[in-house]
Amino acid sequence: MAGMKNAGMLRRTFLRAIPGAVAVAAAKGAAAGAPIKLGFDTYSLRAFKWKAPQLLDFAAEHKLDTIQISSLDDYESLEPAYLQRLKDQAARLNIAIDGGTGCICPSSQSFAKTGPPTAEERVLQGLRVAKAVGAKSMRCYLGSSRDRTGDLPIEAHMENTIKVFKNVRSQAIDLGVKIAIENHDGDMQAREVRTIIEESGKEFVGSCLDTGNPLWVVEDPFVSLETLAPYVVTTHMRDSIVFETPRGAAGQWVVLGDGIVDFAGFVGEFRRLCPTASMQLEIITGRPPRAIPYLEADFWKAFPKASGAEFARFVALAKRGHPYMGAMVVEDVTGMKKPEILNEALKEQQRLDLIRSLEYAKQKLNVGINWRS
Amino acid sequence: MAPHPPLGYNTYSVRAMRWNDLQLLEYGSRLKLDTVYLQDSVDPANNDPAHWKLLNETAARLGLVVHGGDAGALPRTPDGMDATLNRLREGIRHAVGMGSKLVRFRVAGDRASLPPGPVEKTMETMVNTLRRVRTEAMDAGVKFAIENHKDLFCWQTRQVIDAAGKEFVGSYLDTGNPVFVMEDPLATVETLGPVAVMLHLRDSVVYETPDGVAVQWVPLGEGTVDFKKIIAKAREICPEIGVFNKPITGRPPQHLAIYDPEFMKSWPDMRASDLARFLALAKKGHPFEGHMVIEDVPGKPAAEIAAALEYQQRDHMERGLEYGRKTLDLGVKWRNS
Repeated sequence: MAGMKNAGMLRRTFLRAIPGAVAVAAAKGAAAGAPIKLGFDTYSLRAFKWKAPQLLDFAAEHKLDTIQISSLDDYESLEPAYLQRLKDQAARLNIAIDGGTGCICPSSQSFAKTGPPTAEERVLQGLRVAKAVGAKSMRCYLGSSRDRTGDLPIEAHMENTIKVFKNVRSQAIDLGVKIAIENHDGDMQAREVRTIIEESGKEFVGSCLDTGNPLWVVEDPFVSLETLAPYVVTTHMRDSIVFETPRGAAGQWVVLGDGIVDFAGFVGEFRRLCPTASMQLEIITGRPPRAIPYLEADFWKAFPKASGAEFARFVALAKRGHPYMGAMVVEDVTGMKKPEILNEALKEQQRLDLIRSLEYAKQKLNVGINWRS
Repeated sequence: MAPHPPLGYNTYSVRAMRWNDLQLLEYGSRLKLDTVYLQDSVDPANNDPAHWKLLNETAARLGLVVHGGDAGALPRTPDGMDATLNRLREGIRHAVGMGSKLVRFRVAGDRASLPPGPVEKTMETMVNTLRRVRTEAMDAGVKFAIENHKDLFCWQTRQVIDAAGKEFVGSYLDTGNPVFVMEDPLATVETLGPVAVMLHLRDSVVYETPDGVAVQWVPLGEGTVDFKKIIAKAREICPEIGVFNKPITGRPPQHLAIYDPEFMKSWPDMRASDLARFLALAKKGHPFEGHMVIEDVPGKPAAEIAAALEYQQRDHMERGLEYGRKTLDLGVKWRNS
């Protein structure tokens, strides 16, 4: 990838480096086709602690078409009048909202201690809020990689999730909001997510396709797309670096265009296979490379049923990669107490990296509608 | 080298603070260090003899040994030789003025910046250049400290020092640069240790990639290099010298494409045995998995990111000094407090 070698420079030079008309013409040539709505997942700007109205304003400022408000914490209130005002604000700004909530699997280690007592109530709460702000989908997730190595096998968590979804089927259909289950933080491979969708009922459950998380389940993001394409309703698009190490590989998330995923090819396929889904960027930089030790036998205890053919595609991806050579404030480490000065740097990086990724999506991938006018 | 050699810091490591020389000395004193190496000063009075005298007096008052003459590098073309000789002479004056016995000098910034022509020719030029100012250096009681930068292999730097004359030329022994010339830093210490006039510690991660090796500098004690072995070897073979912590973090990894014949064309003088030793080091390594503000790259960063980089330079300096004291048992003054 050309972007890798000079990525350190890119944050500081990217916007100046592309004359608008030239870049748009090049992008159109590279990825022509049906327009795709461009937006972002609010998690990308989490350090700002902005609430939904500010996040919508940010989306408007950058001439985006959509936003995924992926957490109920992004709202100042869940009162109908407040949500109606948000819906109106979004309509005024010509921005479509995708809704979202958190973990909805009652047996998962990620299932929050606070919130409505049952998983069904959590799903319904998310669906009702989504409906109130005019969303057609509501992102949620099963858990994380910890659920692959706990007391219960992942299949048990999947069964529990399917049961929850089936229990809310009629309400979800009545609300007209699709549940969009995400392949999240190493919890499931795409084929497992597809099983949940098909077993629950594809008429009311779809996929929130995340392109960064497949790394943690040794999956090439193209495999995730190919597997989930018929069910994708919303997305988390994010670029990654993967490279071989003595233990297997290591992965790190980077700004869109700086990684080794062929996003021009990916978006071409996405445009063809998922023409109505929105492209929400979920940019998560600032984290150190994460080990994917697939050459160690213990690693495979979490993936006893993984496909060899799919794994081979992941290895091929890792073989193409190098460590990230660009600039990055790598200080987003879970559980680490940081001085305020580093928090401020991370915060500014979140803003800059999201903007640079959005520009890449517009100029290089020819995605988005509102920014053209 | 003494069992507890003087411990100091290299001021280049905190360059983002933009401190003047006196602030840098005071920082060294607050850290209870024994010595300070003033490198790449940004003090407006850097070339003023009155300032040198003030530095000398301040260092004495703070109980610090200060070093800091600098004469740049060899010119790329012969027409720059007069200016280089002037810088060497000015470096001597500067060192004497501030009470330093050392003047830093380099062959080049890196291999790509070497003067045109074979490396052997450049080494010969280096020797001849140094010998032209031998008398001035000897009369002033000052030695030229040749830094192993990213230019020559350690055995080549040793040849330069031996050929020029160990009585007025020694090694500014740097443990971070060797990985950029595909050299195990322990090998560098083994070769240059006996002629070292100071030792600058910088740790690195070194690890294999599919088509080569990647290297990155990290805080002391957090990399692939075994600094306990480095210091043990230095204690065994180095003369009585000071040891300086010189972290340069915040830079991205650099890839050395050693399996690409084009890349290796720049290194025709590399010995296979040295490369094999470097590969053995790389096989022990892995990418840096800690957190780091990797923003020391060209261009002007956002204010928040520049502030984080400043904070990090101090943090990594102080972390490394703690490692130097507690794990490597370096330094004198801190033991009395």
